[in-house]
Amino acid sequence: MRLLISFLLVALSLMLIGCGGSKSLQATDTGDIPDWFTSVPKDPNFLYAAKTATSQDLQLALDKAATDARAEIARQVEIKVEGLQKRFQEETGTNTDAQLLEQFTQANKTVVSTGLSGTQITKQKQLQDGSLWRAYVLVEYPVGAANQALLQQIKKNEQLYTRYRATQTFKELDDEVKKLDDAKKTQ
Amino acid sequence: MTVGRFLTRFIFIFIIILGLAGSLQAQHYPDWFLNPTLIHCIHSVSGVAEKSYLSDSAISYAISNGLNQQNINNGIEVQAETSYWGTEAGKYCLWRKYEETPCNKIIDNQDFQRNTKKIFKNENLVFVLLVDSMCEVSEYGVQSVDVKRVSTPQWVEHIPESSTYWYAVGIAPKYYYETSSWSQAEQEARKYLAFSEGISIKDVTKVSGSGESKQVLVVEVELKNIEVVARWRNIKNDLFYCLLRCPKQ
Repeated sequence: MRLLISFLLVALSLMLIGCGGSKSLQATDTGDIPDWFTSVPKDPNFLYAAKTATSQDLQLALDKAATDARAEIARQVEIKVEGLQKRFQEETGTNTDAQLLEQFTQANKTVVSTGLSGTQITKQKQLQDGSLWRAYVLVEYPVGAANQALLQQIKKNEQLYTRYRATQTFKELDDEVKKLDDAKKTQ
Repeated sequence: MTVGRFLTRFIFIFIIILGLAGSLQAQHYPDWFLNPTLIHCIHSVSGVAEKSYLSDSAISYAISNGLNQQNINNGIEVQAETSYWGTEAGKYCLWRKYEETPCNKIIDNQDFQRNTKKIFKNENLVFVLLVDSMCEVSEYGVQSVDVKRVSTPQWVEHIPESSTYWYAVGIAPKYYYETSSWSQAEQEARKYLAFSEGISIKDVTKVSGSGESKQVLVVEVELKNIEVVARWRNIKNDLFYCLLRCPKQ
């Protein structure tokens, strides 16, 4: 009888282990931090932002990281456009023209706020960190798209267009956008 | 050997086999569900439903799910807004809104309904493959795949890129109903497609010194011709993955 009880207990334990095995869902994932997060890719044709976020909700963790990365891209675009603005001003000598400065700042804002269409999550990884999910994302944005958006804004504003179209910076910008358009057509 | 000993051994072995069976239970899916691109048809869609006591009603639900899915894939309007507040202690969600409305409100696709090409049943679900009348489904695509034996697809971490398509991966945890997990994974992927297609920033504020920041992103866009490229289930973490794509507008 004792033997039977022992057998039954052992068997029951094995069964429970078996059942538990099929549903051991939340085992801690000790995977490493992805390489693309520690050394973010560099490419003159793209802007990259790698961000991480945690949450008890996996989707929220991913959303937080992606939003943060997009905000980082927006800051990079803003810096890039500000750089172009300085070059325009140096070439045309309009550093003190308040109206022109205001118009360009407005164009910059529009590019940064609406020009982020085209950002794409190209890499992502999720790890379980205790009871939290940690999400890593890499968001990519083609520089050509930012240039195109800025050019459109300048062309929309007659005063800006008249002042800047003869500059070397404008020609470079225009050429880059034309190259992008040609590349799209050939694809 | 006495009858008692024989019975004891029999019960012992039976219980062990029963216990192991639980852990070794396979998770089979039709390959046309996991890799819909194997079906070389312009219009094809998979429908899925939980198994029910009446087999026919489960199939009907699966067909209805497939038709709904096809309607969504044809075109949806997406309106989304997310706002986050970042502090030294972490990032907090202030609000998240996501709404998608099918462009075509009425599901009228008799052509699809008449062409239920394949039905597959696994341990929990019923799958149907719907195709249009022009489509000839090859015999390839009737295999069942045990996801436990499938290694992690590359697209799970490295999302494909293309000059003509947006690609996005949606992930969902395991819910009580597995169909909800698959549906959620697809919706998450659609959300990321929408974010790529038409996002604008309403507010990005960074307070210098305190480390605080606020981000508000808005999406208002129409997505058309969405395609499911692949699905995968991570058994280890019980996560459901879906890779979608749609043409760049």
